[in-house]
Amino acid sequence: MNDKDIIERVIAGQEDLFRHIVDRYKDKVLSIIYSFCGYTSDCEDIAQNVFIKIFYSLDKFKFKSSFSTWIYRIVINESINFAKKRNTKIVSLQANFSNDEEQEVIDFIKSDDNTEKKAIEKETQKLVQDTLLKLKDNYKIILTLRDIENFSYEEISQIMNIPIDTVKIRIFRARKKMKQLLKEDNLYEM
Amino acid sequence: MKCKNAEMLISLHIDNKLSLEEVTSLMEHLNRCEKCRQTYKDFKDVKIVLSDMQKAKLSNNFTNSVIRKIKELKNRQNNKNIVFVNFLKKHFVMAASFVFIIAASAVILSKKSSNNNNAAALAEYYLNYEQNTSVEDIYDENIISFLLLY
Repeated sequence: MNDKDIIERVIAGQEDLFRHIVDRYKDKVLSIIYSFCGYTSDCEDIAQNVFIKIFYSLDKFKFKSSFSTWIYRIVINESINFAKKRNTKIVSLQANFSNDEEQEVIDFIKSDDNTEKKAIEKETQKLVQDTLLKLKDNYKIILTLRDIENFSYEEISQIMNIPIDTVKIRIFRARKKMKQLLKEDNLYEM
Repeated sequence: MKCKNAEMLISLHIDNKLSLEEVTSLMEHLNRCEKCRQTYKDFKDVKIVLSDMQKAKLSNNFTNSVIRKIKELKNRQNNKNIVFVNFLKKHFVMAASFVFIIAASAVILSKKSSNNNNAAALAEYYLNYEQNTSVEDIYDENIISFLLLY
Protein backbone atom coordinates (compact mmCIF):
# COMPACT_ATOMS: atom_id res chain seq x y z
CA MET A 1 0.00 0.00 0.00
CA ASN A 2 1.43 3.39 -0.92
CA ASP A 3 1.28 6.43 1.32
CA LYS A 4 -1.69 7.98 -0.51
CA ASP A 5 -3.82 4.84 -0.07
CA ILE A 6 -2.99 4.61 3.60
CA ILE A 7 -3.73 8.29 4.22
CA GLU A 8 -7.10 8.11 2.48
CA ARG A 9 -8.10 5.04 4.47
CA VAL A 10 -6.94 6.51 7.76
CA ILE A 11 -8.94 9.68 7.10
CA ALA A 12 -11.93 7.50 6.20
CA GLY A 13 -11.71 5.87 9.64
CA GLN A 14 -9.31 2.95 9.40
CA GLU A 15 -7.01 4.50 11.96
CA ASP A 16 -5.09 1.35 12.72
CA LEU A 17 -3.51 1.59 9.26
CA PHE A 18 -1.59 4.61 10.50
CA ARG A 19 0.86 2.13 12.02
CA HIS A 20 2.22 1.50 8.51
CA ILE A 21 3.14 5.17 8.26
CA VAL A 22 4.83 5.03 11.64
CA ASP A 23 6.80 1.90 10.74
CA ARG A 24 7.85 3.33 7.39
CA TYR A 25 9.21 6.62 8.67
CA LYS A 26 10.10 6.19 12.34
CA ASP A 27 13.83 5.56 11.82
CA LYS A 28 14.47 8.64 9.74
CA VAL A 29 12.22 10.71 12.00
CA LEU A 30 14.23 9.64 15.01
CA SER A 31 17.50 10.37 13.25
CA ILE A 32 16.50 13.99 12.62
CA ILE A 33 15.20 14.42 16.17
CA TYR A 34 18.36 12.83 17.50
CA SER A 35 20.54 15.44 15.85
CA PHE A 36 18.77 18.02 17.99
CA CYS A 37 18.31 16.10 21.23
CA GLY A 38 21.34 13.89 21.42
CA TYR A 39 21.47 11.11 23.93
CA THR A 40 18.35 12.05 25.84
CA SER A 41 15.30 10.05 26.71
CA ASP A 42 13.21 12.85 25.23
CA CYS A 43 13.87 11.67 21.68
CA GLU A 44 11.29 8.91 21.78
CA ASP A 45 8.67 11.18 23.39
CA ILE A 46 9.28 13.82 20.74
CA ALA A 47 9.03 11.20 18.00
CA GLN A 48 5.73 10.03 19.45
CA ASN A 49 4.40 13.61 19.55
CA VAL A 50 5.51 14.15 15.96
CA PHE A 51 3.52 11.15 14.74
CA ILE A 52 0.47 12.20 16.73
CA LYS A 53 0.71 15.64 15.15
CA ILE A 54 1.03 14.02 11.72
CA PHE A 55 -2.04 11.88 12.40
CA TYR A 56 -4.18 14.86 13.35
CA SER A 57 -2.91 16.86 10.34
CA LEU A 58 -3.49 14.17 7.70
CA ASP A 59 -6.68 15.79 6.42
CA LYS A 60 -4.70 19.00 5.76
CA PHE A 61 -2.18 17.25 3.50
CA LYS A 62 -3.09 18.02 -0.12
CA PHE A 63 -0.43 15.98 -1.98
CA LYS A 64 1.20 19.10 -3.40
CA SER A 65 4.56 17.77 -2.26
CA SER A 66 5.57 14.20 -1.49
CA PHE A 67 4.28 12.84 1.79
CA SER A 68 7.79 12.10 3.03
CA THR A 69 8.86 15.71 2.38
CA TRP A 70 5.84 16.90 4.39
CA ILE A 71 6.66 14.56 7.27
CA TYR A 72 10.30 15.60 7.46
CA ARG A 73 9.34 19.27 7.46
CA ILE A 74 7.10 18.65 10.48
CA VAL A 75 9.88 16.73 12.21
CA ILE A 76 12.42 19.48 11.60
CA ASN A 77 10.05 22.18 12.89
CA GLU A 78 9.18 20.16 16.00
CA SER A 79 12.85 19.43 16.66
CA ILE A 80 13.80 23.09 16.35
CA ASN A 81 10.94 24.05 18.69
CA PHE A 82 12.04 21.44 21.18
CA ALA A 83 15.64 22.61 21.05
CA LYS A 84 14.57 26.24 21.55
CA LYS A 85 12.43 25.33 24.56
CA ARG A 86 15.09 23.22 26.12
CA ASN A 87 17.88 25.58 25.01
CA THR A 88 20.05 22.58 24.32
CA LYS A 89 23.63 23.57 23.65
CA ILE A 90 26.17 20.97 24.55
CA VAL A 91 29.08 22.75 26.15
CA SER A 92 30.88 20.06 28.01
CA LEU A 93 31.52 16.62 26.61
CA GLN A 94 31.65 15.29 30.14
CA ALA A 95 28.10 16.48 30.73
CA ASN A 96 26.82 13.87 28.31
CA PHE A 97 28.29 10.98 30.16
CA SER A 98 26.29 10.04 33.20
CA ASN A 99 28.25 8.40 36.00
CA ASP A 100 26.79 5.03 35.00
CA GLU A 101 27.88 5.42 31.40
CA GLU A 102 31.40 6.41 32.37
CA GLN A 103 31.60 3.42 34.68
CA GLU A 104 30.34 1.21 31.89
CA VAL A 105 33.17 2.36 29.63
CA ILE A 106 35.74 1.82 32.38
CA ASP A 107 34.35 -1.64 33.17
CA PHE A 108 34.50 -2.57 29.51
CA ILE A 109 38.14 -1.66 29.31
CA LYS A 110 39.03 -3.45 32.53
CA SER A 111 37.04 -6.61 31.86
CA ASP A 112 38.41 -7.46 28.46
CA ASP A 113 41.29 -5.86 26.57
CA ASN A 114 39.76 -6.88 23.27
CA THR A 115 36.80 -4.63 23.85
CA GLU A 116 38.95 -1.56 24.38
CA LYS A 117 38.53 -0.73 20.74
CA LYS A 118 34.75 -0.99 21.07
CA ALA A 119 34.78 1.30 24.07
CA ILE A 120 36.82 3.87 22.20
CA GLU A 121 34.44 3.62 19.25
CA LYS A 122 31.50 4.19 21.59
CA GLU A 123 33.18 7.23 23.06
CA THR A 124 34.02 8.56 19.61
CA GLN A 125 30.38 8.17 18.58
CA LYS A 126 29.25 10.24 21.52
CA LEU A 127 31.83 12.92 20.88
CA VAL A 128 30.79 13.18 17.22
CA GLN A 129 27.16 13.39 18.30
CA ASP A 130 28.02 16.13 20.77
CA THR A 131 29.90 18.06 18.09
CA LEU A 132 26.93 17.79 15.77
CA LEU A 133 24.74 19.23 18.52
CA LYS A 134 26.98 22.28 18.74
CA LEU A 135 26.22 23.27 15.14
CA LYS A 136 23.52 25.80 14.39
CA ASP A 137 20.17 24.34 13.38
CA ASN A 138 20.48 24.68 9.61
CA TYR A 139 23.88 23.00 9.56
CA LYS A 140 22.72 20.27 11.92
CA ILE A 141 19.72 19.47 9.75
CA ILE A 142 21.61 19.48 6.47
CA LEU A 143 24.42 17.24 7.66
CA THR A 144 21.90 14.84 9.20
CA LEU A 145 19.91 14.68 5.99
CA ARG A 146 22.96 14.41 3.70
CA ASP A 147 25.69 12.54 5.53
CA ILE A 148 23.73 10.48 8.03
CA GLU A 149 20.48 9.75 6.20
CA ASN A 150 21.86 10.02 2.66
CA PHE A 151 19.13 12.21 1.17
CA SER A 152 19.92 13.59 -2.27
CA TYR A 153 20.46 17.30 -2.85
CA GLU A 154 17.08 17.46 -4.60
CA GLU A 155 15.30 15.82 -1.66
CA ILE A 156 17.02 18.15 0.80
CA SER A 157 15.99 21.11 -1.36
CA GLN A 158 12.33 20.03 -1.14
CA ILE A 159 12.38 19.19 2.57
CA MET A 160 14.06 22.40 3.62
CA ASN A 161 12.29 24.41 0.94
CA ILE A 162 15.50 26.02 -0.31
CA PRO A 163 17.08 26.18 -3.78
CA ILE A 164 19.60 23.49 -4.70
CA ASP A 165 22.42 26.04 -4.87
CA THR A 166 21.68 26.95 -1.25
CA VAL A 167 21.82 23.25 -0.38
CA LYS A 168 25.27 23.00 -1.93
CA ILE A 169 26.59 26.06 -0.12
CA ARG A 170 25.06 25.07 3.18
CA ILE A 171 26.52 21.55 3.05
CA PHE A 172 29.93 23.00 2.30
CA ARG A 173 29.74 25.47 5.19
CA ALA A 174 28.35 22.85 7.57
CA ARG A 175 31.19 20.45 6.81
CA LYS A 176 33.72 23.22 7.25
CA LYS A 177 32.26 24.14 10.62
CA MET A 178 32.00 20.52 11.72
CA LYS A 179 35.61 20.01 10.78
CA GLN A 180 36.66 23.05 12.79
CA LEU A 181 34.75 21.86 15.88
CA LEU A 182 36.14 18.35 15.62
CA LYS A 183 39.62 19.83 15.49
CA GLU A 184 38.92 21.86 18.61
CA ASP A 185 37.78 18.68 20.38
CA ASN A 186 40.95 16.96 19.18
CA LEU A 187 38.80 14.20 17.90
CA TYR A 188 41.07 13.24 15.09
CA GLU A 189 44.45 14.12 13.64
CA MET A 190 44.50 17.08 11.26
CA MET B 1 41.61 28.09 -9.59
CA LYS B 2 41.50 29.86 -6.23
CA CYS B 3 41.47 27.82 -3.01
CA LYS B 4 38.16 29.41 -2.01
CA ASN B 5 36.51 27.97 -5.14
CA ALA B 6 38.37 24.68 -4.78
CA GLU B 7 36.98 24.18 -1.26
CA MET B 8 33.43 24.38 -2.58
CA LEU B 9 34.24 21.97 -5.41
CA ILE B 10 35.80 19.55 -2.92
CA SER B 11 32.52 19.37 -0.98
CA LEU B 12 30.59 18.74 -4.21
CA HIS B 13 33.12 16.19 -5.41
CA ILE B 14 32.67 14.15 -2.22
CA ASP B 15 28.97 13.91 -3.12
CA ASN B 16 29.73 13.11 -6.80
CA LYS B 17 28.17 16.32 -7.96
CA LEU B 18 30.89 17.50 -10.35
CA SER B 19 31.11 17.17 -14.10
CA LEU B 20 34.15 15.49 -15.65
CA GLU B 21 35.66 18.85 -16.56
CA GLU B 22 35.18 20.18 -13.06
CA VAL B 23 36.79 17.07 -11.53
CA THR B 24 39.77 17.43 -13.87
CA SER B 25 40.13 21.07 -12.98
CA LEU B 26 39.92 20.32 -9.28
CA MET B 27 42.46 17.52 -9.44
CA GLU B 28 44.90 19.79 -11.21
CA HIS B 29 44.53 22.29 -8.39
CA LEU B 30 44.90 19.63 -5.68
CA ASN B 31 48.11 18.42 -7.28
CA ARG B 32 49.57 21.87 -6.73
CA CYS B 33 47.97 22.84 -3.41
CA GLU B 34 48.87 21.11 -0.14
CA LYS B 35 46.31 23.14 1.83
CA CYS B 36 43.43 22.05 -0.39
CA ARG B 37 44.60 18.45 -0.31
CA GLN B 38 44.29 18.63 3.46
CA THR B 39 40.83 20.18 3.12
CA TYR B 40 39.82 17.32 0.83
CA LYS B 41 40.95 14.78 3.42
CA ASP B 42 39.19 16.70 6.23
CA PHE B 43 35.87 16.87 4.40
CA LYS B 44 36.04 13.19 3.55
CA ASP B 45 36.72 12.39 7.21
CA VAL B 46 33.71 14.43 8.33
CA LYS B 47 31.48 12.55 5.93
CA ILE B 48 32.84 9.18 7.02
CA VAL B 49 32.54 9.99 10.70
CA LEU B 50 28.93 11.08 10.33
CA SER B 51 27.86 8.21 8.09
CA ASP B 52 29.44 5.73 10.53
CA MET B 53 27.52 7.17 13.45
CA GLN B 54 25.47 4.60 15.21
CA LYS B 55 21.87 5.52 14.75
CA ALA B 56 19.57 5.77 17.70
CA LYS B 57 17.01 3.02 18.01
CA LEU B 58 13.42 3.24 19.08
CA SER B 59 11.94 0.81 21.53
CA ASN B 60 10.31 -2.27 19.99
CA ASN B 61 6.96 -1.10 21.23
CA PHE B 62 7.15 2.38 19.69
CA THR B 63 4.54 1.94 16.96
CA ASN B 64 2.06 0.32 19.34
CA SER B 65 2.55 3.11 21.85
CA VAL B 66 1.83 5.74 19.17
CA ILE B 67 -1.40 3.99 18.10
CA ARG B 68 -2.41 3.53 21.73
CA LYS B 69 -1.81 7.22 22.47
CA ILE B 70 -3.89 8.25 19.45
CA LYS B 71 -6.78 6.05 20.62
CA GLU B 72 -6.53 7.53 24.12
CA LEU B 73 -6.70 11.04 22.75
CA LYS B 74 -9.70 10.17 20.57
CA ASN B 75 -11.53 8.61 23.52
CA ARG B 76 -10.84 11.66 25.60
CA GLN B 77 -12.21 13.87 22.83
CA ASN B 78 -15.34 11.71 22.49
CA ASN B 79 -15.92 11.86 26.26
CA LYS B 80 -15.69 15.64 26.18
CA ASN B 81 -18.30 15.73 23.39
CA ILE B 82 -20.63 13.46 25.38
CA VAL B 83 -20.33 15.66 28.47
CA PHE B 84 -21.19 18.71 26.39
CA VAL B 85 -24.25 17.07 24.84
CA ASN B 86 -25.44 15.89 28.27
CA PHE B 87 -25.01 19.40 29.58
CA LEU B 88 -27.17 20.73 26.76
CA LYS B 89 -29.85 18.08 27.35
CA LYS B 90 -29.94 18.75 31.09
CA HIS B 91 -30.30 22.43 30.63
CA PHE B 92 -32.51 22.21 27.58
CA VAL B 93 -35.71 22.71 29.54
CA MET B 94 -34.19 25.68 31.27
CA ALA B 95 -32.89 27.05 27.99
CA ALA B 96 -36.22 26.43 26.23
CA SER B 97 -38.11 28.19 29.03
CA PHE B 98 -35.76 31.10 28.80
CA VAL B 99 -36.28 31.36 25.06
CA PHE B 100 -40.04 31.12 25.53
CA ILE B 101 -40.05 33.92 28.09
CA ILE B 102 -38.02 36.15 25.78
CA ALA B 103 -40.31 35.42 22.82
CA ALA B 104 -43.47 35.94 24.85
CA SER B 105 -42.15 39.24 26.22
CA ALA B 106 -41.38 40.37 22.73
CA VAL B 107 -44.91 39.55 21.55
CA ILE B 108 -46.57 41.27 24.53
CA LEU B 109 -44.45 44.36 24.17
CA SER B 110 -45.11 44.63 20.48
CA LYS B 111 -48.88 44.18 21.05
CA LYS B 112 -48.90 46.90 23.73
CA SER B 113 -47.17 49.23 21.41
CA SER B 114 -49.75 48.45 18.74
CA ASN B 115 -52.62 49.11 21.22
CA ASN B 116 -51.06 52.41 22.16
CA ASN B 117 -51.04 53.37 18.51
CA ASN B 118 -54.72 52.42 18.17
CA ALA B 119 -55.64 54.42 21.28
CA ALA B 120 -53.76 57.45 19.96
CA ALA B 121 -55.51 57.20 16.59
CA LEU B 122 -58.88 56.81 18.33
CA ALA B 123 -58.28 59.83 20.52
CA GLU B 124 -57.47 61.93 17.51
CA TYR B 125 -60.55 60.65 15.74
CA TYR B 126 -62.80 61.68 18.63
CA LEU B 127 -61.22 65.09 18.75
CA ASN B 128 -62.04 65.65 15.11
CA TYR B 129 -65.34 63.86 15.40
CA GLU B 130 -66.90 65.94 18.16
CA GLN B 131 -67.03 68.90 15.92
CA ASN B 132 -69.00 67.19 13.14
CA THR B 133 -71.23 64.34 14.36
CA SER B 134 -74.90 63.52 15.37
CA VAL B 135 -76.02 61.25 18.26
CA GLU B 136 -76.75 58.30 15.92
CA ASP B 137 -73.32 58.61 14.38
CA ILE B 138 -71.74 58.59 17.84
CA TYR B 139 -73.54 55.37 18.70
CA ASP B 140 -72.42 53.62 15.48
CA GLU B 141 -68.93 54.91 15.90
CA ASN B 142 -68.68 53.51 19.43
CA ILE B 143 -69.57 50.07 18.15
CA ILE B 144 -66.79 50.33 15.55
CA SER B 145 -64.28 51.56 18.15
CA PHE B 146 -65.10 48.68 20.43
CA LEU B 147 -64.49 46.29 17.61
CA LEU B 148 -61.16 47.99 16.75
CA LEU B 149 -59.82 47.68 20.28
CA TYR B 150 -60.73 44.02 20.70
